[in-house]
Amino acid sequence: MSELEQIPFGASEFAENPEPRCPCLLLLDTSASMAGPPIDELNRGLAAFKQELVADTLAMKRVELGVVTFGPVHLLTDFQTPDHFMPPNLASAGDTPMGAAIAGGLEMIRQRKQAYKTNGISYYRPWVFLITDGAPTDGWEAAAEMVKQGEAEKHFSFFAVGVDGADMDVLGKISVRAPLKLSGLRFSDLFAWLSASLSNVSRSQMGQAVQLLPPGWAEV
Amino acid sequence: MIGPSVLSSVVDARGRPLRLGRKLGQGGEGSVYELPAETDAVAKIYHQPLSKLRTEKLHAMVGMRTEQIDRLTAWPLEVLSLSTGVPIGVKMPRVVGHKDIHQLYSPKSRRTEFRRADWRFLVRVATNLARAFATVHESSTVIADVNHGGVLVGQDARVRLIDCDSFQVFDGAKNHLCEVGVPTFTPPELQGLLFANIVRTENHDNFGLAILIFLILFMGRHPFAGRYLGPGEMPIERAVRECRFAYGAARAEARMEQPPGTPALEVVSEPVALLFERAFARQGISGSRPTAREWIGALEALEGNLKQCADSPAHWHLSGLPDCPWCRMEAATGVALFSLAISPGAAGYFDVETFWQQVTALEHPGPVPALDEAVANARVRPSEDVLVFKQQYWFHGPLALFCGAATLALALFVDLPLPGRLFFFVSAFVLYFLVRRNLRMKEDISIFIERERRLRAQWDAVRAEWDAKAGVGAFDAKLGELNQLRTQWTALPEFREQRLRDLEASKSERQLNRFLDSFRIQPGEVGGVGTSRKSVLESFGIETAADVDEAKLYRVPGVSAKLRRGLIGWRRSIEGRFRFDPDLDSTPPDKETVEQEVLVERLKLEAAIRKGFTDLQQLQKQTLFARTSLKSKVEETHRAFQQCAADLKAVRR
Repeated sequence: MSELEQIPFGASEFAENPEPRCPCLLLLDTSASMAGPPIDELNRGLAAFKQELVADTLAMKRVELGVVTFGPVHLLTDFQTPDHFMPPNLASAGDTPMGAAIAGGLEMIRQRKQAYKTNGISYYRPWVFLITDGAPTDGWEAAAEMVKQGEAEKHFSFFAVGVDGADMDVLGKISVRAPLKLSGLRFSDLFAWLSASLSNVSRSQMGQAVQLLPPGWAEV
Repeated sequence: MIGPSVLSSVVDARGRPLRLGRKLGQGGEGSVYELPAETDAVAKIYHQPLSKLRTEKLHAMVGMRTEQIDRLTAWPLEVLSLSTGVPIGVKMPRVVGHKDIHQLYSPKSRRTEFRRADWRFLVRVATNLARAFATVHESSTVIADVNHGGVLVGQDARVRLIDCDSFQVFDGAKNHLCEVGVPTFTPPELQGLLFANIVRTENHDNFGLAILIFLILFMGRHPFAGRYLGPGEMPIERAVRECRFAYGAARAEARMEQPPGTPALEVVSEPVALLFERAFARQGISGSRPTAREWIGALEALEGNLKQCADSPAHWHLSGLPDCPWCRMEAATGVALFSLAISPGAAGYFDVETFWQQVTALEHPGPVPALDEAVANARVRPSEDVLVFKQQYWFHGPLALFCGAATLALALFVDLPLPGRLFFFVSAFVLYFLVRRNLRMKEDISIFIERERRLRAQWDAVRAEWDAKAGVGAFDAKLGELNQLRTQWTALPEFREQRLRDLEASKSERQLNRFLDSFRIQPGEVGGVGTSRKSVLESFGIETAADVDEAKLYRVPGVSAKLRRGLIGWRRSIEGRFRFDPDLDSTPPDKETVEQEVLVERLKLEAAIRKGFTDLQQLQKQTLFARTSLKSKVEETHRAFQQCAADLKAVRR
């Protein structure tokens, strides 16, 4: 039982819950332009998101949420299961440093995967969800390159969602997948879809492509 | 798809209409409905009418039913059709009060969903599972799609196999195949294959059975999820395919290590350990994996050879081990493996000192890193803007110089008396500086002032943000908070002692109170108190001598000074009869209240410590994250500000 002697930091969360993990990273735009109804709807959507994930016993043990907000870049929560996730009350301020947020977020994913490996926890391909209503105000080209490379090496799946006013062209250059346009302020629908999709993923087999539900919240 | 109108025309095997009730759930294949007429059965209605093959299979299954099968599985009871005769569903037993097996084997959900489950219970569930597998196998059936969603467990440790319509059934003439499978339960020889045309065997099932038993006995850990020491990724499927059992004797050759903080294979008896080795070894592919019957015997023997841990009644483990593996695991991880409900009064698994090792192991983010020194100290050259500006006002310098020089020439070259020379000499310098200053006043440097002001404000804001987010203020504050909680936790025994001392100190008072409380205010006993006055007093909470109190009486309307005196006198007279008995111990209920209070306090502190540690981890991540994500912005802003400051200085020169 020599393995019991050395416990790397963070092992306890995996000891009590050794289920495979399905990390989901939210990169949320909280720049000044999101002020008013958009940020309120986003907050409401996040609160409902937690409720829906917690209602699913398997998703509650497998899905892990990490949230990075930008405007300015801030790590709101590192990856944790939905029961620990506290829906935030986001306020809008500042510019749109999207590039820095993406770079920081992808590094978080890399570290999290390392923690899974160290603790012998298997995991699904992480999901990154970028939600913005503007255009980057910092250098995003390097971040776009990281996204491209990560997608090619299947390190994560990157989705970009543009709220009204978003620069869809730049989003198209950052994301390998075609960016989706949120119709109106249907954040609640978006998060309901995301939680249902994550529930599906957490029930699926690792390494298999998951059939995504049709995103009813997106403009066609 | 089947529409609602169709649902009203479902008939049972004998052609009688079957009324469907509430929808209980929906899956990929069909939906399950309540049957109002039967409490112990449900109807599964498929989204599509059943194929001929599928119908044959279900009919075959209905024909194979035995009492034992019915007890251990949710076996199809009869085939349901539409009134047109098209087969559309199946009637199955309703399994009530059972939960998914993953709720049992993960410690976190076990604590809340299976509050009675200790390791004995887990061994029993594993044995019952083997019994269910054996029963199915002995009726020429293979479960085929073994997975964590196919087994339900009751609070009495009995299991039921569900999703039986996907089993592979042999009807005496042919095999009805199963087309699906879950990779983490699929044996190496079938990994990556399409199941559509593969005849599954008991030996395949036995691999899945061993995986499930391992999950149950080893705290939800998958036997092939380990630390891979080689290069590249090692997902479970690959580890299974390559037979890399992370807990096995051959794990070193497989370059695997079991995950940290997990129990070693030795926590199960040697025979059970050997069964695992056989089930997961490459040799098992040829058909030698332990059968369900073999598991039953070995697990029964294991259950008979368990003992309770001396320190924690919630822990049962194999006797003969040097120490309790669950104590070690709980101490090492700070996680309760079993519900606390099964160890009432136990000290609990939480030990602040052990937990604290995790806190100290969490790396302090360290002081705020200094911003790039080179940038901070660099001499910044004025920018292009300054050169343009200087060009615009290029003549100012020479003009002032000319005025000064001309006057100086007067002083030097015109023949003047000494005071005159001196006057012009001084005037030359004064003139130069006056002209220079006047001209400079005319220069429009407001744009540089404005720019410098704006950048300074930006820099101040960014620096404040940097200090707040990249600094350790929040982290240190949280750590201080945690330290305080730890001190409080450590002081709990003293807290308890103090409460008990308080109890002892107030003994006489409490005895008196109890004594007074035994005298109810009766009409007629105290002058002026009749039945109606008694009920008025009662409505103000004054019922016994213990309640009689000057302040309280003032609040009751209609109580005269005389009556008040009467009541207080009555109380005094009773007090006079009271004799304190120091030998009478504090009553058990009082002591229990203290113990309860201490327990609640302890649980609150433990929860706060856990929560605080989670917060601390988040803060550490947030700080480190901010240091990398904000750095370039901070440095850019600083550089821009320094440039403006240098520019302003240059145009002012």
